[in-house]
Amino acid sequence: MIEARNPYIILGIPFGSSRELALTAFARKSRPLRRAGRGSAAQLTDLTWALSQVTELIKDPDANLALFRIPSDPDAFSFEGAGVMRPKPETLERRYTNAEGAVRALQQRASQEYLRYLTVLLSERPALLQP
Amino acid sequence: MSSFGEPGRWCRSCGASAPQTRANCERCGVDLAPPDSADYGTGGRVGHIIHVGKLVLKRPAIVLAETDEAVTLVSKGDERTQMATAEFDQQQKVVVPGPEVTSGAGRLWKAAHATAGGAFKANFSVEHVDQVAWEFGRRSLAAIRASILDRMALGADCDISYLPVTASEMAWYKAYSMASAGKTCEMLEFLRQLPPKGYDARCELITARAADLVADPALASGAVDVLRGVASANMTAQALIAAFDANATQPPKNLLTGYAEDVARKIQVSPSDLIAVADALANGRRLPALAQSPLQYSRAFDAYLAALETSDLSDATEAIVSLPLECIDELVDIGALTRLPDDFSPWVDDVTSYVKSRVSPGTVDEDTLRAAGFTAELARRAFMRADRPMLDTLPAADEGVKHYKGLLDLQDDLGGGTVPADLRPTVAHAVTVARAIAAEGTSASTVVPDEVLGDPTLWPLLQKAAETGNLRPANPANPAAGEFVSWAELCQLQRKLFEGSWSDVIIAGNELANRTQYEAFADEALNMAAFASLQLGRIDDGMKLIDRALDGQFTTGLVANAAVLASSRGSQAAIPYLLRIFNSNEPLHIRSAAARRAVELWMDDPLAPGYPTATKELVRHVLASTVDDQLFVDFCKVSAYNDEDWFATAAVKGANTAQRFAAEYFSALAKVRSDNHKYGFDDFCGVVAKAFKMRDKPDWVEAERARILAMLDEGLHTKFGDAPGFALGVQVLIREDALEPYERIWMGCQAAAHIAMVIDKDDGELAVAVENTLVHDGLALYKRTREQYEPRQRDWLEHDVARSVYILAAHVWSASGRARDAMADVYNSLNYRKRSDPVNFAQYTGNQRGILAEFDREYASRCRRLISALRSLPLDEDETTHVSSFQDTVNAWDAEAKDLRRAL
Repeated sequence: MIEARNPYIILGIPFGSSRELALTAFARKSRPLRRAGRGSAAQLTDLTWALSQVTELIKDPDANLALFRIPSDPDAFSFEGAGVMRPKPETLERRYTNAEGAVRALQQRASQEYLRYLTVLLSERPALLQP
Repeated sequence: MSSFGEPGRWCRSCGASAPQTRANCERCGVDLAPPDSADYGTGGRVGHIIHVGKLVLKRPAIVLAETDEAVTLVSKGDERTQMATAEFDQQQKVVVPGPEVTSGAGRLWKAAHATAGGAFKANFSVEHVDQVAWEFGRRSLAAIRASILDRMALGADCDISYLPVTASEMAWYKAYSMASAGKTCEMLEFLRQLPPKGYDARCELITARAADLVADPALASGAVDVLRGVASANMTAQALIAAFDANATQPPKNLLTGYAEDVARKIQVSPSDLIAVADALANGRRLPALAQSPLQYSRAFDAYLAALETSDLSDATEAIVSLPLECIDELVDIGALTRLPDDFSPWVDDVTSYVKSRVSPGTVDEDTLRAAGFTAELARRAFMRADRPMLDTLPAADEGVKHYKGLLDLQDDLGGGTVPADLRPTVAHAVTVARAIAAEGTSASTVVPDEVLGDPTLWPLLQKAAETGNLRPANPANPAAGEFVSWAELCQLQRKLFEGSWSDVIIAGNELANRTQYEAFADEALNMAAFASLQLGRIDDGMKLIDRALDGQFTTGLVANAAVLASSRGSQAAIPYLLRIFNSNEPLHIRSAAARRAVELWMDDPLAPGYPTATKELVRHVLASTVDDQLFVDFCKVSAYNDEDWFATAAVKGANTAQRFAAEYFSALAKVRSDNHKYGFDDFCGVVAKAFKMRDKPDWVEAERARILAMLDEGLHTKFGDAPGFALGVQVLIREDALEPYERIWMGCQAAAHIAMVIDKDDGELAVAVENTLVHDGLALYKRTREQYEPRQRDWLEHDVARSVYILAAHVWSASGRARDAMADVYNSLNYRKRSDPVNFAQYTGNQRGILAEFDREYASRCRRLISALRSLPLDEDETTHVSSFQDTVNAWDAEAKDLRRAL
């Protein structure tokens, strides 16, 4: 019923690790076994099987519900929040710098708008025109 | 003195202002009287018209003169009559069509012009009325001035050669007339003809056309031009220039507030509100309430000032539109503008992209970032998703791109020792410190400084060292110290697990779970301990540990592990956990995987009894949910084979057309399989035919098609007469044209033979129509398509068909023999009747001819057709002998029939 072997545990890598990480782990673990010679054949076979599982067969680890997951949470060893390795959004350099002049221009435009507003109010007065 | 206010007494002739007390202009000596028609009558009755006379003699009469007692009227030619003033005033006045006029002379001219032009019907002398009008119109300068205005209104000649007014005065009246008529452009044209100074009343004319000036910058510019000459001494002119000059500067406070006060006085409202706004604008302060006012820039100015104080401007999109970009940039910098609606784009595209990238750099889409040239953020996004190809497409020389390429190198080599080049200095420093700790910590006890403790995103660089247990916080009081210690212990635990130290993992995992205040770390520690328990065969211990981890918050991964662990107790134990995943908010493919896993476990479980209730309930639940097509089909199939009674009547609909058809198909299959339904294979084949005829068959239909054809192949190739159910199904598939030609040919013949054999047992006979459809149409099809098949296919097909047709021919031959015997009895009885009833001899003879024809048509010719077909098919020796025997029999029937016909 339960999978007897877990390829990620055999390779010593977290569940869902990438193909690259699996290859690195395989190289690291198989090197001493090869040096040890014949006595390690079974372990080497296990490692080879585990590598093929991770690199060829397990296409979508998230949807694999037959394997025990270590860690159960892929983010168990990482953290929320910003920092060096999870940088905050960049800030786009400011292009329009003369705020003081722009505010004065806005004030003038608002004042002009107000004068126009008053003039239109006045234009609606009856009998404004006298010859 | 510069001031606001109504224009006082002034000279129409030269435009100079004058004291109220003077009668003549100080500058030019001309009478200061304004246009006025009141000095040539007492009651303003001159020029008014009433009807005089009765019935058919009723006609218009116009007033030519008036006194206090009577008016002088003319109704015909130049004959004058008198009417008492009191009587006149009681008469209804006649309205003459045409423009509005104000003076008596104007009314006379208007009546004369309308009558002369035919617009008004009257019998008085137009010339006489016109002459009287000139007399009135020239009676004084004020009357002349009023007359000029009326003649202008009437579009009549105003030639000044005989009128004592100046060109500038005439220009003034024309400007006034144009203003009255709403012709702003023409008004400005005549105002330009005035001397630059004087005629201060021009301000009122221009004010009256304010709406046009607001709407048309060219008109506004023209107005400013004609105001400049009078502005030095006229604050109204200054205010109008400030209002309409495109190059105006901020108006002085006294101008703003003074104009507001003057307007308030003239339109008779409380001045305080208008002055308060003017005062705030002049002093650059927050404005009083501007509810419902159309002042977009004032609102924007006020919103900007408010944002500088405390407010977030993000929701005030109306104000943002009117703000200069400099102000927007400033508000972004101080955090007063933090978001904009997605569809908000009041500026040109690249400016919109720039502003949105400034406001929300972390959330705008990447096209917007590209349009804004924001390479650094594009590089950061590429780094966050480890997208090296995209990083390579960005400008390599960009500092941001270099930094994030270096950071990605670091991400790919967390356990290494190098510090990538091109990192920004602060980051490079932090990484250098972390690398040094990692190197030292792998072999000796090392302290972690606050600058690394405070940034947990750097901790993965220390993982190798943390696994050794050599790291400890330099400052235990650091707020992150506790979390760091738990994290480091979890790293050690994972290492022990990968080394297979199961007992150590169980002990340390429990200890860490009990000690840490961080639930995520505790859950993970229990998860590892549970796995270690499983490895030691302690399933119950493992389940307890993982169930403990599932208390409180947990991840889907933990539930998945619980399912894995529980499945070692049998497929049914895992179902609650898998169902929990299916019902979670995980992506559909993960939820589907959980459901699929539950069924897989059951199928692989040798100890599961039949179709267990838990599995059944899960499958039913999944079919009632929205799932992907493949899972839906698979579970329909599971239900059709294992839960057929329920599925045959269940209201499983599916989420789309494909799923609905799958539900229909497998529901039909379930009905065939269910003992509770009288639903035959031929009924099922109605749905099968629809599946077979689909154009783009999904995989499951192809699989079902192969399964059904294999089943028919095996089912039909049995002893003839033993597969009538399949034969009826084939009949449906052929009727619906759902089979490929090759299948249709052999299956039709097989079906016909099976049905014939069943019928034969009861001395029945296959209907001719069925024989034609199943056999002869198929054989004709084979004749047409024979060359399409490989020799091997042809060989198999012909041999298979030969067996079937041979069996059918035997049936028909046998049935024909029985029919012949029966018909012979009838035929012979007719011979007896011919003798006993000679009167009806001819009728009996006709009946006998009919019997012979019917036998030939229904039996002999049918046998001949089958024999002919068999002659083209491969028969063995015995079959060939039998066919010859059939032929001999048929020949004998033919010869006998021929003799009988001759004898009749």
